[in-house]
Amino acid sequence: MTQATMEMEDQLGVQKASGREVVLQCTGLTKVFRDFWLRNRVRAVDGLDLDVRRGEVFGLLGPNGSGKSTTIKMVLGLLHPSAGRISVFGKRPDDVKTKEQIGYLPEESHLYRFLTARETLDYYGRLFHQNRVTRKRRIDELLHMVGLDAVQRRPVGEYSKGMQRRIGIAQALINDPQLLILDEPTSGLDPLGTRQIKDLIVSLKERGKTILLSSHLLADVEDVCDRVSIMFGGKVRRHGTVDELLTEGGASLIQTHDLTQEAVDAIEAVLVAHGTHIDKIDRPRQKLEKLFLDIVQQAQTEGVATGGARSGRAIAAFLQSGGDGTQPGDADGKTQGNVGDVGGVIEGLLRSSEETLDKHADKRAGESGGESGGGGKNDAVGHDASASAETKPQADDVETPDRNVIDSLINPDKRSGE
Amino acid sequence: MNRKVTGNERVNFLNTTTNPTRGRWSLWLVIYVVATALSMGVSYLLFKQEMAGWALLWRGVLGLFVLIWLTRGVMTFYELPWVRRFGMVMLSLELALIPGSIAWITGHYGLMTGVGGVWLMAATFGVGLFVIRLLLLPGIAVFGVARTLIDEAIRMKIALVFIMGVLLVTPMLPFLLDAGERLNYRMEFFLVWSLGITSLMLSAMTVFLACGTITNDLSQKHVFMTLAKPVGRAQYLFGKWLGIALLNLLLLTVAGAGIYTFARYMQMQPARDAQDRFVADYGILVARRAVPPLPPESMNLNQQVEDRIAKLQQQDPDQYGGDLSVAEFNAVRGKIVQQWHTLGTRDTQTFVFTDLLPAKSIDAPLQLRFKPQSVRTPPGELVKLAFWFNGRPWPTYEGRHYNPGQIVDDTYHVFDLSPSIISADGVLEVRIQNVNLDVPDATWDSSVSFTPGSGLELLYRVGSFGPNLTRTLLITWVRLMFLATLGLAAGTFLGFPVACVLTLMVYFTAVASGYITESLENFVGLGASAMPMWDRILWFPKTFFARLAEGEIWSAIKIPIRMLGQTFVWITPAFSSYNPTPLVSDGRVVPTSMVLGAMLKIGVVWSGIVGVLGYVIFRKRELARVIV
Repeated sequence: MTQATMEMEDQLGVQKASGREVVLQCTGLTKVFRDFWLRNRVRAVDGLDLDVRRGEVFGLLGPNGSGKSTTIKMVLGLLHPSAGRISVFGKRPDDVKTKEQIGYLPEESHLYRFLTARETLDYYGRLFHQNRVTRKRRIDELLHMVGLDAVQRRPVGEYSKGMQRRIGIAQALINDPQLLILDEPTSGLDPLGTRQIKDLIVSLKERGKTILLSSHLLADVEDVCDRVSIMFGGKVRRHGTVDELLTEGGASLIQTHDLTQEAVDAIEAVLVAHGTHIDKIDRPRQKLEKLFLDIVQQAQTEGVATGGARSGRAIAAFLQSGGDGTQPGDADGKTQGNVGDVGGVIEGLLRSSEETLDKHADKRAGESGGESGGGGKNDAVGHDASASAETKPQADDVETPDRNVIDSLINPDKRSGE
Repeated sequence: MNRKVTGNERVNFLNTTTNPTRGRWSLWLVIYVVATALSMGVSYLLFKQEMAGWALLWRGVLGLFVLIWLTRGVMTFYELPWVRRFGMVMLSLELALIPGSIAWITGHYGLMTGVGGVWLMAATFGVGLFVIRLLLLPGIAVFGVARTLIDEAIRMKIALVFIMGVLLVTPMLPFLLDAGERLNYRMEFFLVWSLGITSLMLSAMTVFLACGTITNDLSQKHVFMTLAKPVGRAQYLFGKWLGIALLNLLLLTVAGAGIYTFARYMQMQPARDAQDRFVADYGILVARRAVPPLPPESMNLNQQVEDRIAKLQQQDPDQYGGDLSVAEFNAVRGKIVQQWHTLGTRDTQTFVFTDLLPAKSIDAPLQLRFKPQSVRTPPGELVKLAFWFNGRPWPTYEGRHYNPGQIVDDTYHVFDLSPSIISADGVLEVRIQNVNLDVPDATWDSSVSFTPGSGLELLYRVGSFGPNLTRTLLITWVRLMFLATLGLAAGTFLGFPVACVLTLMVYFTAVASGYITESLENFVGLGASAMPMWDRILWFPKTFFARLAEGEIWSAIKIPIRMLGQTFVWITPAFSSYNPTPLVSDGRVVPTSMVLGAMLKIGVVWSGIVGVLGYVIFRKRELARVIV
């Protein structure tokens, strides 16, 4: 089969994919590393079949050494497959043009230590053939977004691991990619940074970007992914949507305000009448993540100086347009305000900051599955009755202000009315 | 996004640990300017009042304060781009001004000039670097890779050491030479060493940089980030090459400007005598063409060669029967030419120099350069030669042929001639008579010969020093670019140390290719100098097995050693064939053919082959290792 024929078939594959367009497709992908004597040393990936559709967050989950990073490197053309085929936007992975639409964050930020943060982003901007004006604008926005604008002239070699990670994330976004490949994106980040990355992923997905997320941190994947492939030994062991994989049958969860003993007894009586009973009544605790974010917020409000990264701020303006030119939160393509203005976005967020704080707290309580609540006001009740779908938040249901809560949380300057 | 500095964010001056840009840079600048003015102005006034000691003390103490103040300010306000640039320039200037002014006060004007030269070259380099960065500003991937490589060279110490070496050597060298030596020797020495050291430093920098940048990118996995972007592997390699090429071009330009300036500066220094001055003015900082002599028509050299071959074929039909190879023909011809360059006792020989109209048209003296070698004269003894130029005896004294007296044997001599001596049709006939028997008490047969080529030649000016130096630097740059290509190619599949060793090995072989070939010939002679190529190739196995059969083990082992050495020399470009330094330091023109030859053979053919090989290896290479 000639390369032209293969590419034509790949193109057709993209076109004929049911539902959403397939952005990345791997068929029978295999990678065998050989030693000096050409003996098979390690079968890192073994007959992998994968398809990632436009606009979804796809999770590659697996323990260390399961072949996630090797798969990603083959997708990027850094490794040659031993067998199988890869199609990225209908083209071969070593096609240079294809990479114009890809953003990549490796598992470690392999940055030039002698370049400053600004020079680093300028370098990667040049690789995308961006002119000087575009580069400058995007670099300003990205540095602001990842909270490194105050230390942008320091060599990256002097940065902490978390700060390097932030620059790594910024470089992955400099081309406003259609396909973002993130390999362990939260590795080395503090909870604030981790939260921001997850918010960023959901924001980008909302704007029509496709994201391939590789991680062994289960919570990261669960929080943001639409579909997941769980790998082990180079093979996919389970595959499906997060709900398909995680929904437990045979148990229900009811969340309500603080209950008196009388109320509990009454509920118990009702349940007994329906042939079941209460298994557990629990009083949720505040999540450590929220406590941490509150402390940082308080410190920033007080103007405590830091030599490290500031908290990240609003998503860069150039990333806010969807892949098809639509604007954030506007599925119909209607524009809501000037999204190119970062300040405008922040002001919008600030207007709803109090509301979003409350919503966020509620949402976290819901996500914690009965272990968290609105500051002790709610109880979570485990019950083996019929499921209550409203209590389990769906990834697609996440509202924009909720995703952007981190922006308002970590922007004390704006919150204090400066 | 700018933020206003609020009350609790204001920090004390020079105590800005969190955000250095918030300090009061204006106060720092005012104090710096005032201290600098006081330092220089007061020391100047004291010096003019003939209080050199106080001037020195004032300049030293306040200069030190200014230096510390400036350094502290640059460190504090480093985040401000203008302070960073201004501070670095002033810091370098201050570092030059302190020793420079101390040298001036203490009367060491040479040292002062040297320090000034170092600063000027460093400043020129800085400006050039700025221009290169501007040129690489457009959003082109190759430019991005090239610019990052230049940043790597400047900020990583490995290349900076060599850059500093280049910037220091040229300005300081003239003042390290023995001032009592003849001026023309010092100038020649300066040119040879400054060009040689510059070339060596830049070669070392190129090798370490080219090998280091690729191997470092691979080992530190920077390449993952770069090649995951829309950059082809060829573009990546070319970007690296372009960065090294531009850096070398800049450094060669700066070094060339320094060499030119200091050579002219040396030319202005006092000479030992008139002859010294004459050579300094007309024999070094010029571009002269060397013309070999032709035999007079009456000699019929070609007929003599044919007669000699016929005689040899008759005497030894086994050796010379049939058609002679080119090498054999040239060997016979060489012997005839050597005979023509040999003057027996009382013999006279005529040497004709033609096509000299360009030399006649310029207002500059010609030089007849010759080196007599007598057969039996003891070393350092004298020979006696008489000269006629276009029939006129030379030199003359009161209208008569002045007996030239004795000339030291086995030494180069130069006669300066007026261009008017050339005939109207551009010919100069030089007749030389060996009058050695006139030496009183001579008991030996003293034939005199000249080595064909360099032993007797006429030199005339065809250009100036500047273009000649430019051609020299261009050839040096082409050689460096080959090294860069080789280093990059080696780095694609070898580790840093091995890549460096390989590249340096090729470099030294290329530089010493002529010497190595000669040494290999002495190590194991082929037995016949004029052997055709195929016979030479077959000679190795045949001789090897023959010597083994004869039980000459060591003698046999030397055969493959020579074969390996010969092969390595053969696959290495002959830098020694394109070495312009001896020419430019002797005031000879670097021919355009040498420049074009270097560009074509080293720059295009050799670099092209190595570059393509490197690309093919890099393209096939898997950039990541097993990570499971």
